[in-house]
Amino acid sequence: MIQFSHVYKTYPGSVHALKNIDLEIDKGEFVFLTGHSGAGKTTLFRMISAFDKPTSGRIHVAGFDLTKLGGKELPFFRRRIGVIFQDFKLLKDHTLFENISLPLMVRGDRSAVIQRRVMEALEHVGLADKAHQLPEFVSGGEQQRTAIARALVHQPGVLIADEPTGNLDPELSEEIMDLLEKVCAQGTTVFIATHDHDLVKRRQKRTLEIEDGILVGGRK
Amino acid sequence: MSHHSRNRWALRFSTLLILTASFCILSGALLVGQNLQRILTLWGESFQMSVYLADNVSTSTIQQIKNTLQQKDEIGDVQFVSQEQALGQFREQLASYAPDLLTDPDLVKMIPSSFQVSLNSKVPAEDQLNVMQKVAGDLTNQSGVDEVSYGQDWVKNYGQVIRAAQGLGWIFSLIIMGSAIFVISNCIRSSIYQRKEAIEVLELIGATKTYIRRPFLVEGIGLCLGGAAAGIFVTYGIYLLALETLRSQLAFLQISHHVHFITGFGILGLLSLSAALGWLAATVCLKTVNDGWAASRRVNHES
Repeated sequence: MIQFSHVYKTYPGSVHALKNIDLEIDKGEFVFLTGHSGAGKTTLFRMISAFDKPTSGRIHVAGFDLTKLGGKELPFFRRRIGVIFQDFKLLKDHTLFENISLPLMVRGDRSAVIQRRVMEALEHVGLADKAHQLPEFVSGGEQQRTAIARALVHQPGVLIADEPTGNLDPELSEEIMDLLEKVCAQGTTVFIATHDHDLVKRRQKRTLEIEDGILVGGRK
Repeated sequence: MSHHSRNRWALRFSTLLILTASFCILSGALLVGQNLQRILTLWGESFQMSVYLADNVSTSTIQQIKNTLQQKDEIGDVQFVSQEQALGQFREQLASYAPDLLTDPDLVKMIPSSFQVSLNSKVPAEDQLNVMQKVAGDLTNQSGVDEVSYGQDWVKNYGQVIRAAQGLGWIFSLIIMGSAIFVISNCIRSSIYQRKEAIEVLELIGATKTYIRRPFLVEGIGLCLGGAAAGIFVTYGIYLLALETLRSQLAFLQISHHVHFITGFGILGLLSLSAALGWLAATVCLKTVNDGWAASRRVNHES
């Protein structure tokens, strides 16, 4: 489902964010990616979600060769994945409901379907009563749950999450992880970046570790 | 309402005002142009060519000249004026000014018979000079024709006025359209800048270019159409005022009943033009903004 082959990413000024990354994640797997801040977790996630292009190497995700992805295919690839961004990327002038409905709206779902699916997603993350609030009037944790609901609402084949529990209390973190495990059990590949080692230990899942842009452990 | 939102509405409103003024000028130019053309054409219809015949020309030659004239598509009406009829008209017009002249027996020898020829009304005003020159040239060499006169200087000046008015109208319209594109582009660019985060997010969740660009295109076309409609409305008000002035204070010109507002096709043309300008301005602004990698470009730029 996710395949990296000799992937390098270098930012201007010779900043080598990823060096020779090789990895393979199967369909329906639940995988953690750990590493210190600045190790390259977020860059790796940007590559998987076609947020950015690698400098060299090949990346295959959900049947798409991301290194050859043309402008016309790009939106259709992005509809196949769900991404929880570290900075949430919620639209400030849209309510939580409207933010969550975006992936369904861009693919042209009917309003009745959107209404039902968004309300289900809001209930999953415990925000049904705040559906019509603007993001700036809810807490950081609630914004994060909104981002999670938006990433799940269109039932993607691959879910990529960058620190999805970073702003949540331990109890809510566990609830969200339970939810992500449930999503995985239904066949979605889940790939989560976190620096919460306790959480990783408790869940007993396959774990990859990245250090200075190099994958040092957990290769298949 | 947020500060950004207020700014956006203020910019849209000022853009709409400028577009209204631009389209008011454009529709005003069209109104003046159409009516000027109509009035000049009316004056042009009174153009007549006099084909003076030689002395003692035979009846068959006269008939031959008449046939030649009638065969020409550019010619409308052809009337033969005999020497006696011409003399009668001359006497009528000058009876009170020069009574002695009218009894002069040699007068009849000085006035030739002629054909009074008018152009076909289908000949465009701007072509009348060329047509007159061509017909006159053809006739001058014809046997039995002494001289052809069509008020050459007046026709030449009239043609120049028409051509100058049309040229100025085009230049003026292009300047106004260029300004409209500039104004609407600024407004769209500002909208894009204010919504660049939204564009990034929409790209990242799989929105197509069409989906992202649609609201900006609608905004551009909507603003231009609104500006054009308001501009035409204001021009209509000015037209009514001008018409009233032509009927009262400038009644001696006797042109008020020839002045009309822009035709339905003209209004439709202006509205279509405005929509095309809005679409063009928005498309040009969006071309480099939304290519699917907006977020990536920003991150790489900031790194």
